[in-house]
Amino acid sequence: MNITEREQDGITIFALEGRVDSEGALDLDLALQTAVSEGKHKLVLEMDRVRYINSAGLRTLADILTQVRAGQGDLKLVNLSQRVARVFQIIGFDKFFSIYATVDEAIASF
Amino acid sequence: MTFLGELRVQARQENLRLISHFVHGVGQRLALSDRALFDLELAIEEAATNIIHHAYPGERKGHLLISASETGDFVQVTLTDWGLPLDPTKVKPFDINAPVEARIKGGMGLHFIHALMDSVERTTSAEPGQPNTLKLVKLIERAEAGQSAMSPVQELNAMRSVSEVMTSNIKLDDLLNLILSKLVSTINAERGTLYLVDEEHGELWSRVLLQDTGPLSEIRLKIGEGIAGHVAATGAVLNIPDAYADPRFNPQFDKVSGFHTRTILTAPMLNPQQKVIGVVQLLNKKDGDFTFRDERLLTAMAAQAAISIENTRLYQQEIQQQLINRELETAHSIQASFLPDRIPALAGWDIGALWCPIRSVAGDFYDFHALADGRVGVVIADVSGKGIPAALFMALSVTVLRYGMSINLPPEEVLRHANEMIISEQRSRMFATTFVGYLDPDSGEMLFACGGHNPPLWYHAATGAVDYVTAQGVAVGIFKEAEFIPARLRLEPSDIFVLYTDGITEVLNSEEEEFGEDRLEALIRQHTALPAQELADRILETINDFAAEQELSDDATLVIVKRAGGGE
Repeated sequence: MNITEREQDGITIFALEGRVDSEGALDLDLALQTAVSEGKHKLVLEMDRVRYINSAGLRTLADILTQVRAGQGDLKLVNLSQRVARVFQIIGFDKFFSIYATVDEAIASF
Repeated sequence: MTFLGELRVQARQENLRLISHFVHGVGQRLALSDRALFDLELAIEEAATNIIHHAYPGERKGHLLISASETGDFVQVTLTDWGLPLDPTKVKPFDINAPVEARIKGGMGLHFIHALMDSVERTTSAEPGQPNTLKLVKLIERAEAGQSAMSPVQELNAMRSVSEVMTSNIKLDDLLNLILSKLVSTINAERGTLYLVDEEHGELWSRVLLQDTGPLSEIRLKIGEGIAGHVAATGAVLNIPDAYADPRFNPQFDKVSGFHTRTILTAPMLNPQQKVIGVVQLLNKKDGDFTFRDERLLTAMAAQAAISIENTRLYQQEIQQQLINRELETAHSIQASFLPDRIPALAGWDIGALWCPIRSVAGDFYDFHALADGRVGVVIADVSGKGIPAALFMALSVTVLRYGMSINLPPEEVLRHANEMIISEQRSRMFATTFVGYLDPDSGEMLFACGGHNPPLWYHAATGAVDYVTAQGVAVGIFKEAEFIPARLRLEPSDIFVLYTDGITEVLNSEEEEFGEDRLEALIRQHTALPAQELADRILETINDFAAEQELSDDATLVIVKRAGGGE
């Protein structure tokens, strides 16, 4: 999957594109773990171009969420596609993650 | 019930992509809605992932068979594995109210499967190796009529998926023909050529030309040369409205074929990693010039085509690999049948042996042979080389050595005879280091000869000392005039005699250190009380731990002969 990273107001934003399947989850894990190890704990993921996510991808997200919250940060999600949002609901993750419609809203909420 | 297709793959993480394509193919054939396809894909991927991790954990390997059929309003997908059956008591129910940290531990996949499917049925076998099945059933929800009018890209996508579903042995050429004719007709061109990249030679070669092109059966171009070569080099689409005005155009092709080229549209076939795997070239738009829309459409379709070509290649490799594995399994069992059925049971003696090929087959072997006078022949050998050639040579070596023992030749004569036979019978210049010993169970005396084999290790129980015994000789199969001089030793009560191949002592750890004889000695001293077979197993375990992450690089074979203690 394609992951691009940028900074805005001290917050790290990742734009994701593609499939967060077992293979994509490895790419995502690498990108997010690298950020966390650099001390970046305020993270936003742009999810509108994610077409597919499975349990491996969800596990990565939950793992990072736990880590950044322990560092007084957060992992916020922006613009989930309908299908991905449904997967979040089935597994009950919509209650754990803060989900926003736009990047600006997500940034303002920190 | 309508059978839709089936896919059999090695249960490995890398094959999840193939499985996903298979599911898409099923979805296309049934014209499933996006949502239904998504659900089906997620459930099947989770089920396949569980099989990969739990039915075949660690080094365990095996197949995963996925078959799909349509029954009334339902699509039914069955996943079959031959690994460890699921233990229902080990499955923790997924707790939707647990905190997020607890939730990532597992159980998520099963929760998805049950949430997304209309029915889930599992059968588990009583023991590993028997089939376990998981049947997933989902109501078919079709795409709305408005959505079902497929774009040319989707159509191509469907075609490739169907071809994947219908048959797992589709020929690449048939697929390429199908793709090219689709591209030519969709864009309304007169002719087309599909080139594939030949990476080894840095060339493009025409794999299919549509319509009868006479003598132009195959075109080869350097990448960077001509129009197609230029597109392969740049990876960008090229639209040429007047072929003869373009210096890259080679009019020679027209001369040979008698065709008159006016306009040319050429697009790269980019795989998902954006690598050019081929080029598709269309000639002469039937009504006017190739448009910007044609450029975009051809680019998109060429990318789809690239995926299907790669998938077909993957399929073929996968099937090839399966065939090779099956043959290797057969070779393994044939070779194992050359080893002795059982270890001799001798009063006052305890004997253990193990044979551990690094691939399916090995160049190592051991043998026991009951001699007419009550003595027992003990043989260990290591054939040069590895894999199939070594295995075939091993079969020859075992046979000639057994023959020598069966006619009661003494050990040095067994080696001399084997040496002569091997040199005259084979021209492959392979050789075997060999040790042959005749043990007299009553006296403990062993008469032996050694053809260049690692000196066996002899632990003297009375003194705690360790010796390495050898006798003059060279590996069998090298010198026609080789001399083998016998020697003699006597094993005393509680002595341990260890025959081994260099796969035991030459194992390397991550620091490139050898396991070595010193560690082997120390290990034997530490475990003198263990029964022979357990000692052999312990040695193998220890070298595996020693190698840790490093893969073992050589076959390992061991024979351990222990004489019972004086009191027994």
